[in-house]
Parts: sequence; structure tokens; C-alpha cells
Amino acid sequence: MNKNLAALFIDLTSEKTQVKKIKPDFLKMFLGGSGIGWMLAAEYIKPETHPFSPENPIIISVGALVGTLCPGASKISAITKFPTLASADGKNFIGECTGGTRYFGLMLKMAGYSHLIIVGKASKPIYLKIYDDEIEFKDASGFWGKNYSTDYVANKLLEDEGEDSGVIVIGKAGEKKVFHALTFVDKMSTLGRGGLGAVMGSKNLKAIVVRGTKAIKIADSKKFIEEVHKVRSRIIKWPHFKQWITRGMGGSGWEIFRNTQYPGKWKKTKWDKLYGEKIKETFDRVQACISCIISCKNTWTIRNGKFAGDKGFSPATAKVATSGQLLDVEDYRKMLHLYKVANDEGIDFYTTTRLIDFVTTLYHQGKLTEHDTQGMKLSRSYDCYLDLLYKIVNREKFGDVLADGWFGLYNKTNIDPQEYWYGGICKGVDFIYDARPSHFHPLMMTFFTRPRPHHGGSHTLTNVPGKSIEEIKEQVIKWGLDETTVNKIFTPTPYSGKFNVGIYTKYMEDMMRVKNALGICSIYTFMGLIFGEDMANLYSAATGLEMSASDLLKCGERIFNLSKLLNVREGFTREDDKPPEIWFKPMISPEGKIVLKDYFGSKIFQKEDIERILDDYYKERGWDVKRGIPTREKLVKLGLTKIINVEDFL
Amino acid sequence: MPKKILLIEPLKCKGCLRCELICSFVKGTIFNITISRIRLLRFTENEIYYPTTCEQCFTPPCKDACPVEAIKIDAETGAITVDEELCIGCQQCFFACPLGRVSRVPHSKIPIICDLCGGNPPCVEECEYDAIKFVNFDKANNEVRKSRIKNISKLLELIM
Repeated sequence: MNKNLAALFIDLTSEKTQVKKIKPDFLKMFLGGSGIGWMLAAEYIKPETHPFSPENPIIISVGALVGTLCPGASKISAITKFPTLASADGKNFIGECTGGTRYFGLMLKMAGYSHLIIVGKASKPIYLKIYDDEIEFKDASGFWGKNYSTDYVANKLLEDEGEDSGVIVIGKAGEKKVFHALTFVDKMSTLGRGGLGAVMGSKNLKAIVVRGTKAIKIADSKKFIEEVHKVRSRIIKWPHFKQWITRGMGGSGWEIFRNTQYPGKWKKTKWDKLYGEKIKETFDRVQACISCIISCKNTWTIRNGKFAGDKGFSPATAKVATSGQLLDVEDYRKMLHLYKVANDEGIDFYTTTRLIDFVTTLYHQGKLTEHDTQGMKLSRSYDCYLDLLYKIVNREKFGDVLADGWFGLYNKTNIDPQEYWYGGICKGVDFIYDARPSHFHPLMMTFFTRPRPHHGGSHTLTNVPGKSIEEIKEQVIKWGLDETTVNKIFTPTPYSGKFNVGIYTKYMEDMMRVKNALGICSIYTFMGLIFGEDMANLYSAATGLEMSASDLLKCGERIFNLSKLLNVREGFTREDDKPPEIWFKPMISPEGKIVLKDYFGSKIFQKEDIERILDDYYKERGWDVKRGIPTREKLVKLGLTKIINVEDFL
Repeated sequence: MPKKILLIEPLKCKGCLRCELICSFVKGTIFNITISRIRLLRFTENEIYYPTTCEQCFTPPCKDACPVEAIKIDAETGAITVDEELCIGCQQCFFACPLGRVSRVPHSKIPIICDLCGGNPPCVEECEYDAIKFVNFDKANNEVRKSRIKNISKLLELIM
């Protein structure tokens, strides 16, 4: 395992490459994968770097257990300074995005690298080809600026470079540096909410293709395979197992989605009929990431109507249904088509559809004028939505304003993003769930406490509605927390209800960093299929470093602190970790008013309650509660002062 | 003649690569899919995966093609094996296989062919999606016929 620990440094400007060995000693501190990725970020991301400047690196990390038989170990992550405007004055967060892969993670490791560091800017559009020790900067002008879908480009590259290659591509939105452009990995995953696609675009980098032939070695192979089979035999006894492997999450998860992602515009029964039932008809086949035995993804096809034949990947249910209701589009096929176009063009479907919902409604209400929209007449119609999407991708007219995201809109029109009615916004990113119908639990909190406001894998059992306190507690115990901490989390308080979300979130964020460093999918952990001890055993056997579940959590905490530290240097404080304003106003739905409550729905949260929960969160982190940033003492305790000069960051 | 053979139903394959990973692990105690005896053919446009491996022919063309008799039939399992000591790396077996099921490995002269792991192939158990079965040879006749018709017709429909 340690032999695969090396970073490939690529400078697109000079076309020079260098292999940098990473000392195995750092594994004890940062585990590997994105943990080491953050260590590299501290070295390579310089203060006040513009996200689109050639100096801004893209650091891609492969999880420590990816490429082995560990179930669910498939994730890669990318760290960069994201272009999304996190505030009106133009702050940018340094974040980590993570996603499952089929070939990319495996092949990068087989090529001999655990990490990729890409800096510079190519003089013309190129794609990177990595084949073991050979690195080529290949001409991509045939793909650039053309009307080719991300899927088409990926297929072409796979045809040319080998079908078992890993591939990351950007679409036209990335080329045009739309702030919420994504990347597409192995034709099955998206990576990079917040604008990874735009950072690639700014570097003239259309795609990365990777293939390798080298072995991934395990320190104690006998123990490792025993652990794998122990975990696997438990997972296949999971009651939902059969359903998932035949229908994927898209086919199985409607009951969860309808309760957690409800925007409250239609009656739930209408929504069930128009989307919940109908989307099932589009299901084609389940798709698994590498090593996955529960396979949540699927491919789909529109069977009839004007858009018959449109195809796509990933469980579309939640995204398409939620945006469909927000935009009041009753035909699910129209929304699936919009989703396909977003994927073809390489743009974030969530952010784009919400921005469109926002501006078309404001225009309808007269709060946005034709002057603001640069002569564009907006309407609450599907044709207008589709037109706006293309305009954003191409940065044409008003689309150019929306391509700069929520604060881009604010800077041009003075419309406060906090006025948007669904989900909530923090640091310039719209949340994928709204805490009012979902209830307030650790995932909701981590949306605004972590540097990049997307979940990043911080799911817990509380994502699923209706679990008992005993079930929730059982999962927390299995993550390797000591008794005192568990008791602290589950001591009821007047401001947080039956458990203390603030303290709970701290540990779940640390666990998220562990999962991302190891490359283990969060679905396994939040469904209670893999626990702290399993991860520790697998990691120890793979690397030869004896680690317990609590050791892993300590590393997770160290990684989290380092990621925060980089953002403190960019000027982020508690002021930025704000719960969205909209959560404190009732959601008016056909089912009645929905207000912000605790997980069990027994306590209504006021702003003061959330502030107190936040106090507890920072206190548990051992940070400066007032400023919401790490203290020097904490950083010394975590050993971070040994690898960086913390004074440069605080 | 093998007592049991591997029967693959490609439509059940979800592309998780666990069969390739376990094969390399059993054969080399490493994870490296390029040395796997079972390989997934990927039809990228529709993301269809077709796991392929040696079909254990009665009169294997690879065996006939080998000039040094390095390819043998295992007395116990009836599976095709490659004697790495004898192999001269001429690659004739690779070209002789009409189904393209002999693999060449980067950085190695030895071709790789599935040897059914002494009659207990772990790829079968590793596949959570039941795409790989290990069936008795006498039972295989009808199973093969049925699955071929089902799979090929559906695959053609999907790929063409």
C-alpha cells in the first residue's frame, strides 16, 4: 500500500512533470487519500491565489483503500480553491469535493500515484494522458468550444486511449468558467460542486485520462481479505440488500427523498404521482462503482414523448423531482431532459435550476426588470428554463450574470441570496436539502460548518427519518467514540432537544474526513454497514500501521482542522458559518406550515437555539468560540505545528 | 474435459470489478486487474459490461498452438493450465484462441488463462450480482444455450 504513495506533479504551463514521494510517516497523521491531499494543499495553495490563476492547484487524491476489495472503497477527492463567490466581497473557500469512481481511482493508483497535483495553464486546450510513467499533453482543440456532450467526449477518449481508462471530463460550462461547473468522472459520477469544472477550464484542461499496469500491494494480505469477507458477509444480510442491488438508490429511495427533499409547493400525493411513480419507468440498469456490492447508481432512458431516447446516469429521482416541483414542471420527462442537458454541458443541476427558479419568480413578481435581465423576457415556462440554462452555460446576456452564481446575481442586482425560499444558502452555495422538511441533524449542520457547503460524505443514520434514539446511539458508539463523548452527545438540552447536534456534528465531520481519506463511500457508513472498527482493521491490514477506530477519528479531526486552517487564512470566521435565514421562516406547503425542528420533531428551533448549538460545536472542537476558528493550543495538541507554521494561517 | 465450468451472464454484471480484483489477489497476492484471468469487456456507449474468461474448450486451439507443450490440461479439474517454466513467450496461444480469451500481461512474457483455481474459483463467490456461476459440465449444456440466447439478443439490442 505504501509503495503506491506518491504524488505526480504536473505543470501545464511548462509541460514538466515530477514524481514526489510522500513519506509513509505522514500516513500516521493524515491516513492517506484526501488527508494527505490536505497536507499537499497546505504546501501548494498559496494565500490570496485567485481560483482561476495558473498557480491555483487541483489536487486529486485517491482514497487509501481504493483499488482493493474493501466494499465501497471507490472514492477520489479533489481539493482546490473554488471560484464560487462565498461572500459579496468575493471570498473563495478552499474545499474538498469527493465522489465514487469506477476506473479513475483504481487506474491512478495502478499508474503508481496516490495523488495528482496539477498547476499552470496550458497554452491551448489539451487533455492529460497518464499511462504509468508516460505523461502526455494531448491536443483537445477538437473537443473545445464544440457542441459535444461530456458523455460524447468521454466515449471518444475511452475509444482512443483504452476502454479501461479512468476519465474526468468537463463540459462547455467548464470551458466558459461558469462558477458552478462540474466535472464528470468515469461517465457515472459528478465531482466538484462549487466549480471544479471551471478551475479545469481556466487551465485549458478538457480532460484527464489515466491507465496503469502496476500492482497495488497490501501489507498483511491474509488479514486484509479476512476483514473484507467479514464485512461483506454482514452487508449481504442487510434487509434492503436485494432491493438495492436490483433497483439502486434511485429505485429504492423515493420514500426517503419525498420526506427530506420536499419543497412544499405541491401536495405530496401529487408529487408521488407525477415523479415518484413515473421516474421508475425510466430505470435501465444498476451501476456499481469499483468494489461496491450495494450499487446505488443506475442508468435511465426516457421511454416516450418528445424526449424519448434521452439517456443518463446516476439516481435522478431526488434531483429531478425536487427541481421539477420548484419550477412547477409537471412532466417528469421535461425535467429529465433538463437534467441531461445540464450533464451534457457540465453544469451543476441543483444550483442552476434553483437560480432559474429564483430569477423567473422574481421577474414574474416584478422585482427583477428587463433592465436587470439585459433585455431578456423571463417567464415561468419550461422553454424559458431551458433557454436560461443554455445562456448560463454559454455566458450569454443575463446568463453571464447567473454564471457567477448567487453572489454574482447580488453584485449586479442587489438581490440577497438569503431571500431564496428553498434549501438555504451559505458561503454562496445552495444546500441540497432544506432543514425544515428534513429536520435539523448533523448533515444539515455540516452544510454551514464545513468550509465547502456540500455534504462531502457527512451522512449519519439521522439522514433517514424516523429512527429511534437507541438506533442512533448504537451507530455513534460503533464509530469508536468513548463513553464520555457518547453521553455528552446524548444528554438532552433545552436548546437542542434529545441529542446535542453541535457535539454530534463535530465527530461526524471528523468521521467524514476518515471516510474520504480511506475512500469509503458514505452510503455504507450511514446505512450502518461499515463501522469505525471495520475501517481501522481494514486500514491496519492494508498499510501495516496499527490503528484503532479512535486513532482514525483523531486523524479525521487533524485533517478537519487543517482544512479549516487554510480557510481561516482566506478570511473565513464564524461570521461565515451562518445557518440560512430562510430556515427560521415557516415553509408554507399544502400540508400546512413546516417549521425548523429537531430530528424527532419535538422541539421548534429559534435562531438563538442554533447559535447555542454552534457554541457547543466550536467548544467541542476546542476552538475559539467567538471567532469559530482553531486555537493555537488545539493545533499544537493535534501535532499540526510540526508540519506547518500555524502563525502563517491564523 | 472439465467437470465444472464458469458460466457468465453478462446482463447481471454491474461493472464493480470485484472478480478481476479477487483473481489478481488469488494469483499474485496483489490487486492488479491486468493479471486477472477474467476481464470485463466494456461497451462504453451504453456502459454494458461483459466479463470474459477461458471457455475451457475440449480440444483447445491454444494448446495445439503451443510449440513447447507448456499448455496442459489439469488431470484433477480438466482445466487448462500454463507451465510458466516451459513457456517461451511466443504468444502463439494468444493468437490461436478464437474467442480472444488468452490475455497478455504488461511487463511479462507469460500468457494468462483461467485455470479454474483448482476447482474452487473465488470470482464466483465474490460476485454479489450472480453474474458468474460455476456449474457442472453436464448441466451446462442447456444453461449455456438459454443464457446465450437471452444475453446475446438483449446485448445486441443494447449495443447495436
